[in-house]
Amino acid sequence: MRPLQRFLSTMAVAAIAVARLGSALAQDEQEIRFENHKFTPQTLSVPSGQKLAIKVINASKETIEFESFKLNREKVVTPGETITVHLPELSAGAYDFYDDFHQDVPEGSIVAK
Amino acid sequence: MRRNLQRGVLLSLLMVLLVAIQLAPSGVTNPPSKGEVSAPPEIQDTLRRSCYDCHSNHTHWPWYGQVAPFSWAVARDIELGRRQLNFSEWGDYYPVTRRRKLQWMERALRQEEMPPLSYRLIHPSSRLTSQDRAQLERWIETELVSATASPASKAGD
Repeated sequence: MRPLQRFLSTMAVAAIAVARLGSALAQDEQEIRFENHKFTPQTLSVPSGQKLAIKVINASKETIEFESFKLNREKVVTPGETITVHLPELSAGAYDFYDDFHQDVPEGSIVAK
Repeated sequence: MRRNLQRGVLLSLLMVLLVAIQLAPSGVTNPPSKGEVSAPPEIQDTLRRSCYDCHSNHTHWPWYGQVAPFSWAVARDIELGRRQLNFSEWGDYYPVTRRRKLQWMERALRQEEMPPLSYRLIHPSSRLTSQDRAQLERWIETELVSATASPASKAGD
């Protein structure tokens, strides 16, 4: 490989790596906890137009399914498990979430502003 | 000679293990219905043919569903399927829950996610034709309209 080609390909790889790192750092990580048969907080305010990573901690002794139809996410979380739900840039608005395995659990809302 | 003996012992142990694990039950049964979904006969037929094995209390256990370790995997899938959507507990769902289930069903139908490929391969008769899909979608739309019209009952209200 010629030196110029090698230099260009190295630069391209570096640019991709920097872009990915920037995107990961830009992700705002928030937390939702499930305990005593409810989610806390029930309303989570997040910035709109920004990628998000939401940690869902199941601190209870029951298996739950963290679900949101609007966000098109459903994930089983076993007792003591923590999962991370990655979300794309959200438009301003409210996105409800709930435990699909226990319909008596009050639903929560992610509010993007 | 010695290698053959070792192989024989290993195979025997494996056979004993396979027989022994048959004693561990999968733990999933067909409990009584808590209120079966009400739908026109053609929709009922489709649901029974394509969905009921995993999403109702009327599971037809396949032969491999009786043999461990496959029975454990089948039982796990059925347990999860029933928790996510159970047509035998339809009458027990809050209106808001019913609406959510219908919305997910509609999405799964449009994205052709259900029945899953692994199930369709083993149960070819479960495949949904475009006519089945269209009928189901129409039924879901009708149900969604009536679910929206019924009084809101929301967890936590």
